This record gives sequence, C-alpha cells and structure tokens, in this order.
Amino acid sequence: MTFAHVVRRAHLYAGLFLLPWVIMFGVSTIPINHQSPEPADWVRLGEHTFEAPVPESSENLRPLGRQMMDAAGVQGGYWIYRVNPRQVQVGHPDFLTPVRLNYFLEERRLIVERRPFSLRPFLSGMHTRGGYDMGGFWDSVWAVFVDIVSVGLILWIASGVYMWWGIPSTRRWGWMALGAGMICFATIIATL
Amino acid sequence: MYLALFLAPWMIGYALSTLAMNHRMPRPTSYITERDEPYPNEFEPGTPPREMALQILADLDLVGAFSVQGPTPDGFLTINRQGMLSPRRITYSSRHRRVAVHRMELETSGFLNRFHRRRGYQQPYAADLAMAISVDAVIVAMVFWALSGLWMWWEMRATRWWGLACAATGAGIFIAFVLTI
Repeated sequence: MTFAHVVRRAHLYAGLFLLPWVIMFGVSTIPINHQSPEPADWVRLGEHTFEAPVPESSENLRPLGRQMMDAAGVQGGYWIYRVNPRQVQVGHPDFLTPVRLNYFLEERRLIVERRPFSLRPFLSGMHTRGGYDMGGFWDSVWAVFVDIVSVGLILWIASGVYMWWGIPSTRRWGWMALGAGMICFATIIATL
Repeated sequence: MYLALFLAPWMIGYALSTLAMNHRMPRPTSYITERDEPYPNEFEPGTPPREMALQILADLDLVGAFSVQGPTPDGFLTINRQGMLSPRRITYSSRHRRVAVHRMELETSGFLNRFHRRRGYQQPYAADLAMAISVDAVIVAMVFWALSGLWMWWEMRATRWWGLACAATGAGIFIAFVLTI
C-alpha cells in the first residue's frame, strides 16, 4: 500500500463518514444567505413568577441562566445574553423544537416559549450551533463533530491538491483554477 | 477537481473560521483614530439617519456597506462601516460639527469571524454582491462534491463495503443528533 493509496482512501472514507455534515453545512447556508424577512413564530408554554439578581457583567450571567432553566424545568445546555437592562434571554437549543426563556426584571416574570418545527430556522439552527460553553454534554459532543468537519475540510483540500498533483495532464488547468480562485478571493476580501 | 481548486480559498477560510468560532476565540477590538476633523455640512431636522450616514460616508470617501445608530439626544450619530480587513466606526456630532473616523486594528480571529458571517444580498454594493454569489457557489459546490463523491465511490467496487460502513455510521450518528439534541 503506497502513500498515495492511503491518501485516496482517507479522502474517500472521511468524506463518506462526514457526508451528512457536509450536505447540512451546504444546504443550511441557503436560509442564511437568502434571509427571510418573516421572524419565526414562538408558542408560549408557560409563565412563572421569578426574581434573581442580575450581575452587571455579561461574562457572569451563566449562573443566572441555570436558575432560569431550573425555574422553567428545562434540562440541558443553554446560551444566555442580556437583551437590554430590563430583559435577559436564555436559549435551550434543540434542533427540532428549541426553547427560549425571557426574564423581565421589573415585572419579575419568566416566560417560557417553544418554537414549533419550521424548516428555515431548523436549517440555520443546525448551521450556527457549536461551541463548548453551552454546559450540555451532547452540545459538547456536537461541537467535537464541528471541529472534526473543519479539520476534515482542510485535510480534503490538502489531499485533493496532492491527488491533483499526481495527474500531470491536469496541472495547467488546475493551476488556472487555483490562481483564478485566489485572485477572486483576494479581490473580494480587499474590497469588502 | 477544478471547482475545488477554484473554491479552495473559501473552504480554507470557512474551515479556519469555524474552528475559531467553535472555540470562541477572543476578539479583542482596539481602534485607531484615523481622522478627527470639522464637518461643516448640515442636515435638515428630521433627516433619516441612513440618509445622513450615506452623505457623511460619501463626503469621507468611505462609501460601502454600513449600519447606523442614533442620533442620540445630544446629537451623536454612530456609523459602523463594515469592512472585512478594517471595519470603521465613524462618529458625527451635530452639536460640535465634527466627525471622527476610528479604524479597527486587524486581528486574526476578528477577521475570520467577519469573513464567516459576511453573506446576503441586502447591501447594494458590488463587493457585497460578489461575496453573496460566492457563498451561493460554495453551497452548490458542497452539495455537488457530496453527490459526485457518492457516485465515484460507488464506481469503485473494492471500496463498497468499507465505504458503506463509513457512510452508514456517519448518517446514523447525524440522525441521532438531529432527533435527540
């Protein structure tokens, strides 16, 4: 078994294993690049009386998020941000039906809502989900796969360039494609 | 193959920026003051902020994609002029009739983040349109690579069983994620 053989097989099998993620990241870019003006609908699940101190710094909000999740009876990972001085929002990502919690400080109210399944936010939700700071075990496992796909993309490019170089008859057109892509990319980046 | 070679810079950019975003790499923002000068032009009361911003950007020779905040009660209008390499924040004070231009210093994770998030056909400028078209090209290419890869794999009989095992494992894990988390 030669090195070239190993490269070709690794390129192929990694591609087959990560195929769903590649298709997902491609297709889910459509609703992001072609944004809909219509906001997603949320259905109210409940409302609770809730009061908790809100730290000044946005970096220390996570304990408050845990309190809000517990008060709403929601398990798993979450993100949190302060919408404005009077409102804090927590989101529990779920690919099919995510939940969000809004705490209105002055009214001491916690509103729990769920988004019914809808294709556009489902796709963009898959695209944007990531990070190791959500606090949920499976959120971190998903983040590992996001890393694997990213590294996979770089390895596919490297192995693809290696395989292209192994076919001398395609070098001239390959150089032209690579050069044209780099020029277009650099021009767009420099002028944006 | 040629499509992949052409789009290689975008794919490297998206891969690196995804790593940076997935690991929440810090994006320190420091600005350099480029200009701080009198701005003699006046605006009629009630002029929409976007019109004011457009005029200010044209006068400063900084026309391009932007967002605007204000004016505040004390007369400050803040224009965020988007830029992949060097975004600028422009502050106009109607009371003092001055304008200041602050340029964000170039820094890797911030650049990767801006590159990854730049998309859409909302801005009327040629460079933004070119970027949006290139994003659509990447979408088509990723789906094409996936489907053409499946076809090429199926044509190689020697790889069918191991390939099937990889594809089935990947699809199973992906479906389990989608249904459960």
